[in-house]
Amino acid sequence: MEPGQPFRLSMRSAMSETTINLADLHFLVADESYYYTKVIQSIFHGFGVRRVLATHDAVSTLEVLIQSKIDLLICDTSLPPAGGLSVVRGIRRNPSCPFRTLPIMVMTTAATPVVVAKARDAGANMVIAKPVSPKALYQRLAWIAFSPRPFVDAGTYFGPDRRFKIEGFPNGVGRRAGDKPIEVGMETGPAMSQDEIDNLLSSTRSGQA
Amino acid sequence: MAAQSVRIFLVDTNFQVMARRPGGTDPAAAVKAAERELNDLKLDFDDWLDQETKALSDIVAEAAADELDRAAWIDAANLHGRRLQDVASTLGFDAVASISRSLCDIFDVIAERNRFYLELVECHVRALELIHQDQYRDKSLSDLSELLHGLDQLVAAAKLLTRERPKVPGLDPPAPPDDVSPPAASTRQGDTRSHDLRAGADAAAG
Repeated sequence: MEPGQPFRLSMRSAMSETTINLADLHFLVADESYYYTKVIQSIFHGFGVRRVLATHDAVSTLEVLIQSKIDLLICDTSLPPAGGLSVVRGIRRNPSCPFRTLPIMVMTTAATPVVVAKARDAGANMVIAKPVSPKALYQRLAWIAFSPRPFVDAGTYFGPDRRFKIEGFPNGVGRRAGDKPIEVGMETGPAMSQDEIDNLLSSTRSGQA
Repeated sequence: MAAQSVRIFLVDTNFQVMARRPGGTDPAAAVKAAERELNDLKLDFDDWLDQETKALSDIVAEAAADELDRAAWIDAANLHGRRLQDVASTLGFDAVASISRSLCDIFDVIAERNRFYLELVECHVRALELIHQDQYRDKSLSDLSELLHGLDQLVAAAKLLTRERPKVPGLDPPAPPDDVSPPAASTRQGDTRSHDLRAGADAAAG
């Protein structure tokens, strides 16, 4: 693949029957709620992940990331004190951060278009809506594993390439220099479903929204 | 102004390398195993629900007694409401999920429109306590439809009431105390200023 080309993602192939091997991987779940971290830990244990750590605020999350070798972070947008997206930005925007390219999945109850766009712009690999189902989580892990996106370091942004398109939208075009910037306004609608999030991301990144 | 250079590079993280190894659990089996783990976790749900409902109830009692300022109790109660919504909806406790979702809607109305509906929050807490009792614990959503519908109506009424009286930033002064739903303590003393909402709340809580 040529760097700079919109990344072609075959969502259907990545998300349906792909088997991933999660044994020996170390995950970190960061959520304010102790019980919800147990929920996500349980799901990961079911997937065969043996070591799943949990944190409940931003400071301890960064401490664990520094002290332990973590392979994937799943982080809630409401993580105290300043929200999970500030953790994501802190990781991505620090040039000396040793885990700057860590795969990060963002969980959110308020899956509005504004929140999803903010998560993407913070550098998250993936957004997953609560309630999190085992199937949706497995599919998104498979997506990250088998459809890695190149990283972009553009001064104002560091993270997975936000330009990608899902095959199946033949008229999609990548974002161009002349495209208007995306304006993030006030939230107006209710939380979106996971399908709606995926559709929003795909159409936005293929230049159709 | 110098053009900003953009670097695009491929990254194969340890997660991606390891996850692509052969030998993983097939998706259907992995999902089933995860669901079994969640079923085991559900055994703790009642105790956890007790704690969360008690915490909410304490916050509402303190707020009613004016022991907490508004921002503090709203933040604290909102936190518990979101926790309940997240966990109950993920684990499939539909009635708790529905009530806590309705409770979170109330907090959204409070946040968006700067109106304070303590009695509506109190009503939802009572509904949570109610469905946690033995005789209601195993009821389905349809069995509890009247209660849930009542709570939804309360949310709708709260939205409607605030919509009818929009605030104009810079022009509309802060609402005087008798313009908003008064604290529960005053309504208990026969204050009828929020009579409609109060009546709805009582009806919904049975």
